[in-house]
Amino acid sequence: MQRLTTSTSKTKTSTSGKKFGWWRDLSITVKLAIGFVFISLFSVGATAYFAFDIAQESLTDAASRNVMDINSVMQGYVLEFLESEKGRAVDFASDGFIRDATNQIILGEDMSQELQRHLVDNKMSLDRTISGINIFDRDINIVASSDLVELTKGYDISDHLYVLDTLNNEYGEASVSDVIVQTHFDIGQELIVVSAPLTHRDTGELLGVLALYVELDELNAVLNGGRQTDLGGTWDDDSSEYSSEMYLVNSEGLMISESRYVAQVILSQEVDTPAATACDENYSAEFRYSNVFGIPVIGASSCLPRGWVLVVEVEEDAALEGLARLKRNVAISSFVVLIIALLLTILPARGILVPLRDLSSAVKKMDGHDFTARAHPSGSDEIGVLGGLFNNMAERLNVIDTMKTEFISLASHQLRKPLAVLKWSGELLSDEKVGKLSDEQHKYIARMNESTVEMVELVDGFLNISRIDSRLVKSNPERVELVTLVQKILHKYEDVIENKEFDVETLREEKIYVFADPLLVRELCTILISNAMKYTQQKGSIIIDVKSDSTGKLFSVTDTGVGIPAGEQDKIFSKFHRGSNVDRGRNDGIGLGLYAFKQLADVMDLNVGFNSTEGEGSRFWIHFD
Amino acid sequence: MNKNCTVLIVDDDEFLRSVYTEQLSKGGVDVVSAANGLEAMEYVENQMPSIILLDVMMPKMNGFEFLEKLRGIDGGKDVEVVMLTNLGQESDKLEAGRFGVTKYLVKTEVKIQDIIDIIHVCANETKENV
Repeated sequence: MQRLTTSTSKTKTSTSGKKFGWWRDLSITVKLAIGFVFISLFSVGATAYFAFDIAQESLTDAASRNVMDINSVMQGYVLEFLESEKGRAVDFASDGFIRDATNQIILGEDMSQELQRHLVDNKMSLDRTISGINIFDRDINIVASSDLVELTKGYDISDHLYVLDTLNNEYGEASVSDVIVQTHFDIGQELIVVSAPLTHRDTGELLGVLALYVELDELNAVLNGGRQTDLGGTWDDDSSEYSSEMYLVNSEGLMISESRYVAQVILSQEVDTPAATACDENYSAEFRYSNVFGIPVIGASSCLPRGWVLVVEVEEDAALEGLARLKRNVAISSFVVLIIALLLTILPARGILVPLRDLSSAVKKMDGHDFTARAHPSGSDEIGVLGGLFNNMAERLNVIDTMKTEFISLASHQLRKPLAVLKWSGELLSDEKVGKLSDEQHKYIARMNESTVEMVELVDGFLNISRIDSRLVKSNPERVELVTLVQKILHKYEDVIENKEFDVETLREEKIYVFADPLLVRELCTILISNAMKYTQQKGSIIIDVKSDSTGKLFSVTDTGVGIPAGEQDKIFSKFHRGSNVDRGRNDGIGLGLYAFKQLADVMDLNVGFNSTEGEGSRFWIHFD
Repeated sequence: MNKNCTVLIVDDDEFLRSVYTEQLSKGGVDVVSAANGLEAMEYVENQMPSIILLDVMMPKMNGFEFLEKLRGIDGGKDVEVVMLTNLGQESDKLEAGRFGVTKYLVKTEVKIQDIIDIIHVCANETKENV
């Protein structure tokens, strides 16, 4: 259906009905921005992904190698320490005095005092890691000790099972026990016992076992650097920097070193992590797991005698700290890249959008019938060229439009000249001002006059439409009296009314004023009255009613004419529409009357309407505020 | 002194001039005609008519040009002018209003009788003065 308003018609924006219509409707700036953002995020993301991957791998590798290296070194230290103690045991067990004294004690002689003094003065003094020495006979009874109290303690064989194995050792072969908790020598902490077999100096007969008691602290001092320092070396304690831990686990899976995370774990903290349990299968390896304190670590383990495991762990977070820094840097740099990308879209976008918008606004003006609108192309890129071409086209349109308007205007005025002559000549004749006429002559003259009126109306119609279409019509409201106006219009149609024997009634006597442009109001009313006359048959009735009430004033024309068919009622205000029930042979209209009527009413911002029944008549009205 | 109502017709169409002259003379009105603004100017400089019927589109000097000149001369300010034209634009009507024209008629809109009636008002007035 044709749009009837005189305002700029809304262009039907391309509703891209497909799935991605929403994308196409986005502004160019937004599209560019999204594009750039995606590209930069993707590039940064892809680079970051690979960087992370490589960084993580190499950092983990480095950390793993580190823990393994530390573990190997530490394993060496621990083994060396144990060997040193074993060496001591063997050395003491080969001491002649001890062997003789032991033999004598076994034979019944009381040498304990002497032996004790010997042990303390000559043996323990050699090695401060030794906390005490016990000498057992073949039945695992203590026969001599560095502390005589040991002899009185009333031990049971089950207290000293750790020396059982040693009884089967060869001469010069020492054994290390697991960690024991029984108190000896009033040492209030865990001990390990290093023992060697004692044999008769001459016969080589097994006399018993010489056992050295070493505090567990001494063993752990190897791990924490205490021993190295004692021996005069230096220990670079970078554990705080590297968040690492080294500890021993015994064959029962219990920690036998202190932990930096929790106090007092010795022989109470079970360790079942992969590193610790790997030694069941007798190989050393590196792992990533959560340690018994719940901290993710990279660990390496190695196996020691007695089923002990040496575990070195480094906290994963610390080891991979570089990765965290990398992630942070990437996040910052992607943010910066994003900002730069967005800024970079604005610059080229502006270069494209500003001339594009300029062109767009010129086109919009032209859509509103302003043919003087021009673009302002700068540069000769595609848009610049387009702008120039648009201006050429606009100029041509402007010329054509002006020519059209001028032509219609000129033609209409040129037509009006002879029409004026025709009209007046006809009137003079029919008024019998140039002589009397016969009835038949009157008939012909009357018909001629009717045709003249028709032609005048047609020409008026053309002129009007031309002006309306060119948006030249302006409304300048004044006080207008409607009843007088109606009389003036009817005066114009006196002849027609007489010829067609219409019954015309005006239903208002006193004056009714409206505030509207006088010429345009006259136009509107004329169109309605003229139509009523055109489409009502001989002897029909036309009622013109002007009334005033609380809502405003109403002008209406009611006729008993041919009416408008129901199916066409929505089209009657369209250009060139003529009712299908109007005799095609008639030449008194081309369907512009009601089109002009509606256009003018819109310009004047007036409410208009109609009711009509085919074959019965129509009623058209105009409402003034 | 008896003063008849004098009508000055200004129109470039010869036929219309004769129509006006013939019809208006019947009412006891003196009719003078001019073919364009220039001729009309020559007349009014000698004698001011009671009423002027003025066409717009004329050669040599059109209706508005004449009007402007008329209002500038002695006695020209108050002469009643009825403009008859084929043009119908509001802008023209406003322009005419500027020069004190109260009746601006489009030829194809009015009947010849209406013009006769307007002139006869003048004629009656003059008769009353007598």
